Amino acid sequence: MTNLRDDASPPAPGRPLRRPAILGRLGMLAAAAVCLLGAAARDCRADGPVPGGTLTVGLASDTAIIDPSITGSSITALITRHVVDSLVGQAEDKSFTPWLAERWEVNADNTVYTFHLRRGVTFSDGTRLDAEAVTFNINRILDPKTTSSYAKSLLGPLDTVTAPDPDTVVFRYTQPFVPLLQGLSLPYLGIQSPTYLRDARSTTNTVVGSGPFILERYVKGSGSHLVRRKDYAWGPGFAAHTGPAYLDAIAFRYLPEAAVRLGALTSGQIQAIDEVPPANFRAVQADPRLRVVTRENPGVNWSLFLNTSRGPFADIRVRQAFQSAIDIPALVKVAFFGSLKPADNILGPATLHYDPAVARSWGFDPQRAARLLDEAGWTRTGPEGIRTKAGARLAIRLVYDTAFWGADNLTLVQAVQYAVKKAGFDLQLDPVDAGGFTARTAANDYDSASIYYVRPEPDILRTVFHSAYIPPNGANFSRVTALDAALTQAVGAPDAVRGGLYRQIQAEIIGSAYAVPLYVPAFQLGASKRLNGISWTANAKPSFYDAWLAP
Amino acid sequence: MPGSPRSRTALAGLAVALQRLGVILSVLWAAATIAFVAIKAIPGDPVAILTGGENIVDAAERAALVARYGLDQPLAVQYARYVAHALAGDFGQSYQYRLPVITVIAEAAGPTLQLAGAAMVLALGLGLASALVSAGRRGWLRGVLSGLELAVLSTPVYWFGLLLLVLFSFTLGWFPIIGGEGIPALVLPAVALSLPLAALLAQVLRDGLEEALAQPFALTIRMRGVGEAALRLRHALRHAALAASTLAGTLFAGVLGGSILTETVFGRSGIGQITIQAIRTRDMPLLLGLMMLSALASVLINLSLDTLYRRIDPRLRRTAP
Repeated sequence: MTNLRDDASPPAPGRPLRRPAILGRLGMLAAAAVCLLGAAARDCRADGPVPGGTLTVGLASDTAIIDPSITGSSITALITRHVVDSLVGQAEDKSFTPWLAERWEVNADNTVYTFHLRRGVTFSDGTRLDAEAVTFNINRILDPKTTSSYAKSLLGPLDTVTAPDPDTVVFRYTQPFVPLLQGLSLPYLGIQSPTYLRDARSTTNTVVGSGPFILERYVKGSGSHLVRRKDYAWGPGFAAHTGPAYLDAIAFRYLPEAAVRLGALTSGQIQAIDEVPPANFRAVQADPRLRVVTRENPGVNWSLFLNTSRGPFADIRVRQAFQSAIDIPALVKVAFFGSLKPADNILGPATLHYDPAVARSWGFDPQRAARLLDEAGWTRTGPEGIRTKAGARLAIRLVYDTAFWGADNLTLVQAVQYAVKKAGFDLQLDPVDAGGFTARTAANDYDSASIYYVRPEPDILRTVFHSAYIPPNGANFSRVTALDAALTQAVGAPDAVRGGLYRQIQAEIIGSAYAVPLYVPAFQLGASKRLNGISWTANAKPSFYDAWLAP
Repeated sequence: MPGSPRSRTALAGLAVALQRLGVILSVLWAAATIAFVAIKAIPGDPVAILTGGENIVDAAERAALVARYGLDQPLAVQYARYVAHALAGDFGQSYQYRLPVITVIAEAAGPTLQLAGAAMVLALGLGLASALVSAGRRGWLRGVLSGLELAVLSTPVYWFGLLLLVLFSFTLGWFPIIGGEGIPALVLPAVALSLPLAALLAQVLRDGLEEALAQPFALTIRMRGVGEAALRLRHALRHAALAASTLAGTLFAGVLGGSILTETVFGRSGIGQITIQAIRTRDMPLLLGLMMLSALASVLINLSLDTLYRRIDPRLRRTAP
C-alpha cells in the first residue's frame, strides 16, 4: 500500500525519480545479496535488475470481464497474463517452453497430448496445483453454463481431459488437432485456482491464479491493480529469470483519451502506454526519456474482406481489379505517419507458416485493374468516372462499426476510397453501430467489411474463411466456401504437410482476391526509458514479469 | 396548519405521499416501456453483441445464450417479464459484464455521485459568490465576471478537462492523474465539470438579484438602514433563489447523466463510463437499467425541488394543500 501512496504524491518537476532514493539503494543491496548467494550471472552486473517500485501502464481500452476464460478481450489477456500461468509458454520465436507443465508428449497423429505437471506450484489462495485443478479448469470452460466462447474455441474439438495421476493431464481428440499447444499458451486457457472457481458466485470481477502477480482489485472504467507474489518460485521457460517478479506492483490505468495518456507519459506520471497515437509516434521517439517499442501482431492483417456471394464482387475479375487499384504501401504510410507496416499477405509476417512468396505475387497495378474491369463488362461512363454495366454503377458498400474503427482506420479507408475511384469504383462508406453491423452482415447486405485477428497460429484463417463461420456465425465476411477442405485438413495435419496447405491457402486468398490486406496491426508501447526488461508474448502483448524500473 | 386535528394532517400527508409514489411509478413505467420499445426497434443480433467481436460462437452456444437471456420468447412475453422483474428491482443480467444490472450500476454510482456532488457544491459556491459580488454594480468586476462566465459557458467540458490536466497535472504536477481514489483525484474533474454549471447559475442568480434589488421593497429595506450585504443575502437572494434552484435541479440531473465526458477525459469509473460502454455494445439490460435510473433521479430531484420551493417562497406554503 505504501507504493500506492508514492504514486499519489506529485513527482518533482524535471526529476523522474519517483521512489524514495533509499528504496532504490535497498534494491541494489538486495540485488547484490542475490549475487553473493550465487544467482544467475546477469543479476550480478552493476546495471542489473533493481527490484521494487510500481509500474503504471495507461491503456486505451477497458475490459468488461477480467476472467480470461469467459472473454475474448485482449486487454483481459494483457492484464491476466501476469496473474495466471499457462501449461506451456510460447517464446517470441514461436517455440513452446515448459511452464506449469514440465514436459509433454504428443502422439504421432496429434490426437493425444500428455502433460507432466511441475510439482510444488500453488495458487495465490494456497490451493495446490495438481492434475485435478487443470481438468477442473478445462471442464469448466467446456461446460455450456460457463458461456466461455473464445477459450472454448481454442480447445477445438476436445473429446476428454483426464487426470490419470496427480501430476499428469491427458487431452484426447477424436480427430487430429495441432493448435492445442498454442491455445494452451494463451492466458485465455490459463489455469485458475479450482477452490476459488468453485466458491465464486461470479468470476467477472476477479481472478485467482498461480502467476507472479496477484490481482488486488479490478474496477470497471478505471483499471486493475496487481501486486507481486513474493513466493513465486517458477515461471515460463521463455522468461529471462525465474522466481518472484522485480516490480512490487503493476497498475493498469484506463485512460481512453490519447492526449491524456500521452501527457501522463511525457510528464513521467506513468511509465508506459499502449496505442501511441500515430500522429505523435515520432514525437515520443524523439523524446530522450521515452521510446516506442513496437511488436507486429501475428494473425490476420487488417483487411477489407470482399463479399464473394453477391453484387459486383461476385465476379473474381472485379475483386482482382479492386485489389490492384490500391497503392497500399503509399496509403498506409500517409494514414499512419509511417508508424505501421503495409500488409503484403493475409497473414502478418509474425504468423507461423506466413508465406513471403505470396507477398511478392501481387501489388499496385492500375493497368491491370482497368483491363480486368473492361473484361468484366464494366465500361467507363459518367462524369465522375464511375464505371457502369447495363446501367448499374460500380458501387461498393463498405459496412463498418463506428466503435470498432478508430479515426486512423477511417483516414486510411478514405484514402482507399479516393484511390479506387480513379479505377472507376464508387466505394461508399456505410457507418453503423454494433447492432447495425451484425444485422447487416447477417442479412448479407454489404459488399465489404473489415476485421483483424491476433494469433500466431495460422488456424486463425479457419475463423475467417471457413464456411461454418459465415455471418451470423462468425467473421467469414468474404463468404468463402472454397477453402473448407484445406482449412479442415490443416487443423490436424503433420507440420510438414501443414506448411504446404497454408501456403496454398494464402495463395488462394490473395490470388482470388477474397480480401485486400491493408496493414499489419501492431502493439505500440510507449515507454519510459527507466522501464527495462519488457518481454513479449508470441501474440504481441508485453509482459512485465521480467521488467524493472531503473531508479 | 395550526388548529387542525393531528389525524387529518397525517391523512393529508399520506394522500400526498401516495400521490407522489403514483407519479414516480408511472414515470418509471413509461420510461421502461419507451426504452424497451426503442431498444427492440434498433437492428442487430443481441447474441452477436453478447459474445463480443473477438469471440467465436457456434450454433449450439448461440442457442444456449438465447435461451439463457430469454431472447427466444415472444416480444410480449419479454416485455411482461421485464416489467414484472423491474418492479421488483431486478433488471436482469448485463450482457457484457455478466453481473446483475443493479450490481453494475451500484458499483458505478459511488464515484459518479461523488463527482456530481462535488461539482454541484462547487458550482453553487462559485455561482453564488460571483452573482452576489457583481449584481447591480456597474464597475469592471461585473464586466470581467460575466465575460468569464460567457467564455466558460461556450467552452466544451471536454476541452476544459484537458486544459486543466495539461496545466495542473502534466506541467505543475499538483494533481497526478494516477492518484486513483480520494479527494486529490476528485479536484480536477470536479472543477472541470462545475465551471460551466457555475457560470450558468451565476447568470441566472445575477438576473434574479438585479430584478429583486430594483423592486420597491429593496428601497424600503435600504431606507430602514439595512446594510448592502444583509439586503443581498437575506432579502434579494430569496427572490433570486427560486429560478436558480429550478435550474440547479435540472443541472444536477444533467450532471449525473452527463458526466460521460469528464469521466472519459480523466479515466474515472462511473455511470458515464458504463453508459458509454452499454451504448457501444448494446448491452440492453444495462441500458434499460440506466434509463430507469435516470428517470428515477429526475423524478426524485423534481419532488425535492417542490419541497424546496415551499421553503424558499412562503406564498407557496399557504396555497398548497
